[in-house]
Amino acid sequence: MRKAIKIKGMGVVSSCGTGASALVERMRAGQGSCRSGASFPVSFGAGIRLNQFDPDKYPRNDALADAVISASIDEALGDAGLDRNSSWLSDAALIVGASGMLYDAEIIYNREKSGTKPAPVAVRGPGRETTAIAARLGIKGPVMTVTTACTSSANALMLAAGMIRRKEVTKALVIGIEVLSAFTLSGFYSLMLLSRCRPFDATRRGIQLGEACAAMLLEADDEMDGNVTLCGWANSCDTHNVISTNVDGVFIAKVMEDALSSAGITAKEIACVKAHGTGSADNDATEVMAMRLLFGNDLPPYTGLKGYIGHTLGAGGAVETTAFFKALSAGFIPATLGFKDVDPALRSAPLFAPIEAKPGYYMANFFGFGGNNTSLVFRYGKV
Amino acid sequence: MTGNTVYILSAAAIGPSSDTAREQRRLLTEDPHTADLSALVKELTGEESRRIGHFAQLAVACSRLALNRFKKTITHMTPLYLATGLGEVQNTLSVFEQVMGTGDSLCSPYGFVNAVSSTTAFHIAKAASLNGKNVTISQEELSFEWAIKLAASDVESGEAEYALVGGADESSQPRQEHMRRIRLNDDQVMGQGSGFLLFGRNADNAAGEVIDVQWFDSSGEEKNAWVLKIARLVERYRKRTDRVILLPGFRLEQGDIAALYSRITFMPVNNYLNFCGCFHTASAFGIASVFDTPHERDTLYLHVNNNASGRTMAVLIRAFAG
Repeated sequence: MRKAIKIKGMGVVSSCGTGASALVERMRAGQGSCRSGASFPVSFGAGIRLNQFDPDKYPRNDALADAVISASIDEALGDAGLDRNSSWLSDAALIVGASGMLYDAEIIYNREKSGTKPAPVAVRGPGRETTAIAARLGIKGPVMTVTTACTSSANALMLAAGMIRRKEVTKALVIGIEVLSAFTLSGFYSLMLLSRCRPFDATRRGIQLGEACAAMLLEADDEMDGNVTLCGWANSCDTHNVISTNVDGVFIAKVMEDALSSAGITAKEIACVKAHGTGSADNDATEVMAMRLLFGNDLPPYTGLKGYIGHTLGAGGAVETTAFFKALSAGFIPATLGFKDVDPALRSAPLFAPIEAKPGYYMANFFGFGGNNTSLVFRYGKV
Repeated sequence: MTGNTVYILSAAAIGPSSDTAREQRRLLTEDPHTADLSALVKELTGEESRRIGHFAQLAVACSRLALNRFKKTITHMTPLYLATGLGEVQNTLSVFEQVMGTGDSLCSPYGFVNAVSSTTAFHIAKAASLNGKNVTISQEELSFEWAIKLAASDVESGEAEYALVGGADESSQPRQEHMRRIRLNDDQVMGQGSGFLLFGRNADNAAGEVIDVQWFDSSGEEKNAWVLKIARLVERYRKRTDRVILLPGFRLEQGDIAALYSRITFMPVNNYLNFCGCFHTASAFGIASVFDTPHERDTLYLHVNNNASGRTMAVLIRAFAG
């Protein structure tokens, strides 16, 4: 088996609140955290269900991203028994996964709107926030931003793990961040993809957008003492269609198979799959089809988390991984919130009630626009 | 680097005037006009490209050109790394104006999909029939340097037989806003272009090799230490027959160049920015365009660039004679 990467600490801010415990309690209780209506101006926003940060705690201003990133990092450091003054971060790699980050451009635009002609997109590109975080934390290792839409922070985890496995760095801070904007909301609205999140359900109609941030500390598991370790990963590009993967599931099955191969284990060893589970008709059907190709008709338990926190796009890899393993550490695998009735076309049900978490290998899948598919394999506890 | 040698099997660079070869390159004295690349994309891919933006055209055409120049088939699981500072900025501006500048907050679905960060790498992969790892890196002026590092690591470690890496950025209007976005001075030329390199493990017909990609802290007390470290890096790999040429990135200041000169002797400068202008991934054009013409003897190229936060990156490659 190839060397695994220890997840040393995790922190998260989501629509469930600040910290993993707020999220875990919602998942244990089977409660979502969405609200009706956007906290920023969009003409069609009134009836849209969104998972947004608490606006009282995280007001919508230029400092919003910094605030949620800082809170996530502080929790991750605390989770690892470290603090901001620790030297752990100084030579770590910093890899941020984000899908665009235009919310602050909109804030600037709206602020300048009353004066002269405002500057559209008066910000410097997705890498600017990463550069600022590195400077703030005194990080001297590699610093980069991965922008692969909904797989961004899953791919950030993959790249960080690869750099550690190849000994290019000894540790990494991975951040997934998504702050919703009118731009993003309008785009998905124009594609008619927005709906209440019902992953794998017979009545599923589309996705429910969310914003969240998670920070994860990774290092080589030299002592073999990691409770959660990332042991395999794969990413591939399905060139079938830019916004949807081929419904035959072959590409997704292949990326899952490659992740298993990277981990050095077989499909039979997977205890549970954290599915991508967007709640859109084709995506969920494709994912079930792909799982059948890999696992056969007897699928392992699988669950989707987007009913709790929404589809957090580029942040999803880090946020859902953190949510999933924090739930496992609390003793349970969360149910798929929003699922109610089996789709006759799928003939398959995700977990609809929590089950006891046990040590084992777990797979986490993330798929995105641009045919970008990522599968990660983790070991939880002593196997 | 310690594993497999990372050979540069082919390269291509497209400048702002859709120039793809040395004889087509033009010295820029002012901002170049944006050239229509539709015909070039059609010629190289056989596909119409009306529905993709100029940025995507730059990336698709350049990647295809680099692969065509290799003249062999590469495995469809070849990883692809695309670097960009701003991505589809023209299209993003257009969608942004649709959403923010009108009362209904609605935008064109095509416009939105084209603005999604993974779309251009998808089009490159589709045009090249690549289904392997597909990653877009955006880290302002060091985007391409990190992409090279990742692609070279895939080949060096044996994870991949080949790796395709490139960078692209387009300019936008109004000029003042674009210059503000990429933090350029008014007297600099606002450029655009692309560059792609195909890496591989096999030396057959290789045009060069990647020697090292290193990063340095160049802030505070480390302000001058990076120069010495780069000088040591060059000396370590310099053979007597090697010519060393400096490729200065657009954030490198005259003082930085003078400091490098004080430590590294016999180092002419290749001011590639004169042909492509300034943009976040100009280094992709600069590094790829050194392979525009054959080299009479082995030549070391040292590309150095800074970012605004005290970070310096050096890319050292060797172009082979012949």
